Amino acid sequence: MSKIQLSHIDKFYGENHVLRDVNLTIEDGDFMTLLGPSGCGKTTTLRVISGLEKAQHGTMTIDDRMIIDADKAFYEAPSKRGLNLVFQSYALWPHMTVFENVAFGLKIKKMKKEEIEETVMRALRTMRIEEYRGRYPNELSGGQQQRVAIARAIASSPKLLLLDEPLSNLDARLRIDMRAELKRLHKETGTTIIYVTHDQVEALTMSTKIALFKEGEISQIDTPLGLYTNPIDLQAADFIGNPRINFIEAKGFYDGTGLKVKSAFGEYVFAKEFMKLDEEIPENREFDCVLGLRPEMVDIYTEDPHHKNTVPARVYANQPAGSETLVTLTVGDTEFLAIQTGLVQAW
Amino acid sequence: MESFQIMPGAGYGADNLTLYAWIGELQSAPHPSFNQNGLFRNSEFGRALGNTVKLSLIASLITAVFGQFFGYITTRGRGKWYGNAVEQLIFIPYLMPGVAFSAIYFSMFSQPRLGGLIPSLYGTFTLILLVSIVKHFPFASRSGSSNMMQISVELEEAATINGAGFWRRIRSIVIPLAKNGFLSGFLLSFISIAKELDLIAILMTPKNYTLSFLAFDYSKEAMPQVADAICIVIIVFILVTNRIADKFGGNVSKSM
Repeated sequence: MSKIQLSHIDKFYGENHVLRDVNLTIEDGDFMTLLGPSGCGKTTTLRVISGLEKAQHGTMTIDDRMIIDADKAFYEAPSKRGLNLVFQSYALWPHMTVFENVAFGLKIKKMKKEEIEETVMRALRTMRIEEYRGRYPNELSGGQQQRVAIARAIASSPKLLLLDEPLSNLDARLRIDMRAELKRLHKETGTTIIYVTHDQVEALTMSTKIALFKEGEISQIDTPLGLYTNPIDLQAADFIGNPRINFIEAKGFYDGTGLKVKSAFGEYVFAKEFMKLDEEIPENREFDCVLGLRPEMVDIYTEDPHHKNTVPARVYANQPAGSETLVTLTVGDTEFLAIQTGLVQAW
Repeated sequence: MESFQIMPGAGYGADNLTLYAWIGELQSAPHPSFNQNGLFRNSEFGRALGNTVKLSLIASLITAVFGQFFGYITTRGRGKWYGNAVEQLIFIPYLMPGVAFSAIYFSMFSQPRLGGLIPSLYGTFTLILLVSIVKHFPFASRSGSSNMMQISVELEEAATINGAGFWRRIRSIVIPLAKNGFLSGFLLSFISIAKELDLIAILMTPKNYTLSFLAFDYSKEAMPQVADAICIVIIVFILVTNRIADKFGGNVSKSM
């Protein structure tokens, strides 16, 4: 368990500035997910933390111990950082058995044979794969290989466990099982975990905190719920949530007491206490704004419930999917999506 | 078949067939054009076979080892100055004709240089070995590159994170995984060196004769039957070595 602090990390590949002033604090025992689309710098950040890449600027500390001080060209060796990494491809050594794969790092540490046996078996038991100890990686399924990769990483009892899109090569069902498995592992070991993914569902379901990356920068760090309910910008709102959030063009007017928003849905006033007043808001003049409406926030009634926040809409299409039904609705020219639990009668 | 004929081109009738080119003795030669014993009764053949085995095995082994090493540097250093430099330098011998290449070595090592630091190697087996090794670096290094490209960098990175240094990574990860590719690279150079002629022709002295040069010598002396017999021996030698390497996982078709 440990606290990691990244300060002003910059990373270049030639002229390409891939990490831009990254600042990130990961508290002891956190399950921190680095989330973002492909090419946004999340894997590079993980590789910088692991020591497989060198940052050109910035510092990193683990439990106040200096690990990277780029300005002084100081980079602690990867094996001395007290961490381990699970690769996206698993990177299991194909010529070694499961036992040998897990024991490799322990042999390098010159542990006694009995101690290695005990530690490896404990790791294999934790990942529930002790019966495969004599098999080679190519004799295992993708899910089993994944478990071996994690067992290898936790065998050395790292203070920090790094996971680079570890579930992306698994099928949908196995992915759900492994998500639960990783959550259990985090709970049982209490190890600080940094997890890289582009899959928002993985991020939302497993993390204690999420750092959202955009073009080499961290745009928002928050809890999963915080990120979902209060995204920092339209891109963050659009990236998080499945099905995607509805954006509705609107006109805003702030008179110092509340924000009046006019859209195809009618007029709604947001009280001042619900507004983020640290942002620049034009006062006493109309301005363009966008309403974000999560599909599950919409309730559909077939008869008028006589509530002030209702608006008549037409059903454009509906898509029953068993546990939920996606309904596309129109209000005037504005089209938006609603999601209803269960099988909803087709209108 | 010509190796079993008395007169080449005179057909395959029983009266024109003989084992002389293989086991004949000069006093019982079936035709005056035979002026030496058959192959297996000729001491030159034994020496040439020994030289060929020695040269092809030692040279291809050294070439394959360096080829894998250069392949490692060029693949891991792709896009970096040292990777590009090694790739360019390694390819130079490929651009030169074999005779011209050996002529360079002939003049370089014809007399001691740098106050004896570089000795005169003309007439030695070492010079033939050296030329054969350097000339085959491009193939071996290409084979090494294709071999190393199949070993994911992540396998090494995983070892690095687990505390393995460079030599430990090479010993425990790269070498075991490169074994089959190494054997394939070895075979590629071996087959080429075992039948090499033009590269080493001008460096030849009688005590260093190889089978291919001996075959060339016999064909000059108008004994094509014996030259053919030597070619068959070379082919058998290559096939046997190929079969042995195959047993250990080498496959020349996978080396490029």
